Amino acid sequence: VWFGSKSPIVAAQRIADAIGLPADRVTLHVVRSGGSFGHRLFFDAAVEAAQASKVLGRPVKLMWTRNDDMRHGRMRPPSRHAVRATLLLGNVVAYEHRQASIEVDFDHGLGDALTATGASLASEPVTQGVYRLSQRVPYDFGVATELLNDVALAFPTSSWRSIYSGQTSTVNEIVVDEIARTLRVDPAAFRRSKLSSARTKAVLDEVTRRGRWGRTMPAGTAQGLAVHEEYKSVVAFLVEIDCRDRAHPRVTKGVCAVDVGRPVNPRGLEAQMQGVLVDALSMTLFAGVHIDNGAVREGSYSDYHFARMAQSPPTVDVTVMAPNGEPGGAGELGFPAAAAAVANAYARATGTTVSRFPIVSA
Amino acid sequence: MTSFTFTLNGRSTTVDAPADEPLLWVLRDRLGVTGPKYGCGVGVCKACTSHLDGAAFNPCITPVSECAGRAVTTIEGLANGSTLHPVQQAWIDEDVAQCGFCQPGQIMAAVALLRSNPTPSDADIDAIDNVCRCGTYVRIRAAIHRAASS
Repeated sequence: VWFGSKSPIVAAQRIADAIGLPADRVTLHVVRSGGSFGHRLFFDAAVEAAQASKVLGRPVKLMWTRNDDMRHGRMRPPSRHAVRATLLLGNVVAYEHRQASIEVDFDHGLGDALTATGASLASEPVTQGVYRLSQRVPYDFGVATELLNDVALAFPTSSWRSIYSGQTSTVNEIVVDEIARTLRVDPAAFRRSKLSSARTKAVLDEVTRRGRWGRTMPAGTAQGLAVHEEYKSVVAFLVEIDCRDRAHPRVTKGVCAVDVGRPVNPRGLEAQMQGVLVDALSMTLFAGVHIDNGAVREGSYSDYHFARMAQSPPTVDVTVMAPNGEPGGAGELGFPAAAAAVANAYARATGTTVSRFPIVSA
Repeated sequence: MTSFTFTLNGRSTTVDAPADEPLLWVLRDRLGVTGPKYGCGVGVCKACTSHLDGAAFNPCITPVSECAGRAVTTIEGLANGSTLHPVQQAWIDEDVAQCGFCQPGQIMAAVALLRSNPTPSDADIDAIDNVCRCGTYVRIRAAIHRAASS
């Protein structure tokens, strides 16, 4: 079987199961292919191809159309978040984040056959373990708790770039701006006073300096910023947005500072931060899938509005912080801070509270 | 099946295909020319962007019959022998590609833009409508400006 896969070991096992062969009779050839963004952990089309080949008794080429993929493939599950922050004398003394979601499918076991088997047998849902291991409020917010309440529905799901953080941490960073607004303090200064990590404060300081945080801007335009810590790395994004045409907001500038402990390929790291901002601004502003009476509305790139050149910032200035430790992750790191920076900029530019996404077609 | 003859990357090419078969599948499945990519099949993602008589077009929505007697250029035909096209070289110099899937189409769109507008502004570059799911637009823009000034 030839296909683009991030989990060839477990895929071979599942293909063997599907067509009644011993696992060692299935050979997977991993071919070069487009980006994954979570999707290539799965192998649905490869299983179908094997089944079709068995029925037909001959080699087959099987390809899903874009419409098949968008309407019947896997999606990031929708989630709903309720956050309560208890404020006392300018401090946050309790922070409760409650999230309800359709269950993320981790059946691939992140790629190897043993954990995939474990995932299918575990008594506690794997999703709870992944959520607990990955989610943490990086601020001194007193008693901080985050709970995921997820249910499996007949809805094909997949983790996306940033897994839970793309939603959970993005929400936290939007709420941090809301708290700062309530307390009438500057969102950058507020973050700085409540963050515990010196590395995170350093990337925040870097983007506020390079991005000239707080500069005077025309009505309908604004800056927004956010930070994120994960994978032994930290990142901050500052963006500027032009919302004078509410139906067509444009992120006009991006500034990023990233500390991955020990950068190995700084140009590649810069590219990941530039790209993830486009990814994040798309999901935050324009690109969503809607379910109408059980059917998926969007079918292709005509109505699923992933950003093109005209919706992307002409420049994204990335500072790679000096090496200071062990290498951390970068590919998924940038999404939550980039998404929240865009949402916070939109809220500041329009004087609104953003609570449904994508903002333009929520 | 009908026989169609057109110029493909400088060489006369004859292929048997149904008249309404999109050129993309004629190129990829019958002729083994896989630079033009499938991303949507309806002319909106632009991953298959190639040139027909020198102008950008989308083979996924162009029947092979429309190409008879004309000149089709794909990414495979852009370089001059072992010398890369200046836009290809600019792409390497700016280290544009991430996953690479959309990049042949992006390069072909950029070449077509520069042919009609040798010094495009940022607003002119915004007219390129090709999707890049990795979000390489910042470096695509830089590569186009670099190629324009070279």
